[in-house]
Amino acid sequence: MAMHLFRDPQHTGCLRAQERLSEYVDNRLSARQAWEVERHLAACPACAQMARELRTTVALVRDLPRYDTGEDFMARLHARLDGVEPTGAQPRPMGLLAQRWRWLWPERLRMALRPASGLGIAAGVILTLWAMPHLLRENGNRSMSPVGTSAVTPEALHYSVALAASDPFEDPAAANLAAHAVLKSVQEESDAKKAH
Amino acid sequence: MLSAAGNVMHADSALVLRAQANDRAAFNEIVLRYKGRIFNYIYRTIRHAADAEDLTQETFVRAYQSIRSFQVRASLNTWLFRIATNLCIDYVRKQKTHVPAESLSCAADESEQDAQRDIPDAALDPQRLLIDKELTHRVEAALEQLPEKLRTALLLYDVEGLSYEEIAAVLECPLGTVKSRIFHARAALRDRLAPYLNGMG
Repeated sequence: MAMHLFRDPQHTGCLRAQERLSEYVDNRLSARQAWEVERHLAACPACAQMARELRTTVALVRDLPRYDTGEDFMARLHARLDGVEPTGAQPRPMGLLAQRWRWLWPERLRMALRPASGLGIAAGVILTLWAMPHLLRENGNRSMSPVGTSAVTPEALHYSVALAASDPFEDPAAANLAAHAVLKSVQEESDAKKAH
Repeated sequence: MLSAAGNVMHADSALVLRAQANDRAAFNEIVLRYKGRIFNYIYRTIRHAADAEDLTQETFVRAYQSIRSFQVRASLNTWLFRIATNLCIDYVRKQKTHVPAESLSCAADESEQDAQRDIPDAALDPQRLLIDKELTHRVEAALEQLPEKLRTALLLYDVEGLSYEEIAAVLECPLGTVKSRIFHARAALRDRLAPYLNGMG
């Protein structure tokens, strides 16, 4: 059976146009592609004839008579359905909010995001695996550093003592004042060290 | 704003949700909505009215049985056509094992054409009477002679109005394959009908 339209396969312009004729007839080509096909059809009577025939063929197929079931179809079907039970568990009814949400998210967008969400999860796992040793190393350095311990502990002690001495319930600004006092004392200590 | 297809899908989803909760009236509505398209598609695929009606019944029985496993966000249209297509494939396979292949592909067989004329409820649009009956028979014969895969793609696209994407889902094949099958099916039909198309279009 002849499976293609090509009357002159040597002619690359014809080949190119004919490959697109089916989609051209359906208006599925981009504006540029459609313009290219039309430009070729204007210059090539053989392809223009093919395009007309293809369009007519499609119209004839679409215009074929349609058939429907016999009159007793529904009665027969219901008689059969009476002896049948839907299988599987009944799905949980979807909440109104979930239904609205589903229609706000077009199916195509959700389908498009599905691989993206997979990639996101994969990236998250890789990042966690990569970052874990670094984080552990960071924590290890801090906990083992004698410098850090000596520098941080007195400040924290000063702060907690000053905070305990104040009463933030009576005066909300007390904690800030306490913190200011700690900073001042730390600054004084630092200045004293420099002087020595 | 929802598109027309989106509205249909929304209405279908509401019916499916009710049918999943054992609402037979909702399932009845689904059948009424789709039985014509499913029957027309099956009949044009297997060309046997009584068997097409049985397969249409079977399509809805299977849909009813497994309605609870249907994902509401999917397309009911696509799902029903997929069930129908699988039934047609099984039917044609069985026929091929029992009937000589020549008689299946004999499109211009007079008895087949008579059977087609006797189909009940054929659409009798007055405008259709103007179309050359002989040409309609030629188109049907040419359609029947197409290889099964090409005919299925063409029927789903040009006769039942499914999109390329929906056909890819029904036939479970890539979009490119769908495009290619439609292109080749149309080209083959045009080749067969070319002698009768002069002066038309």
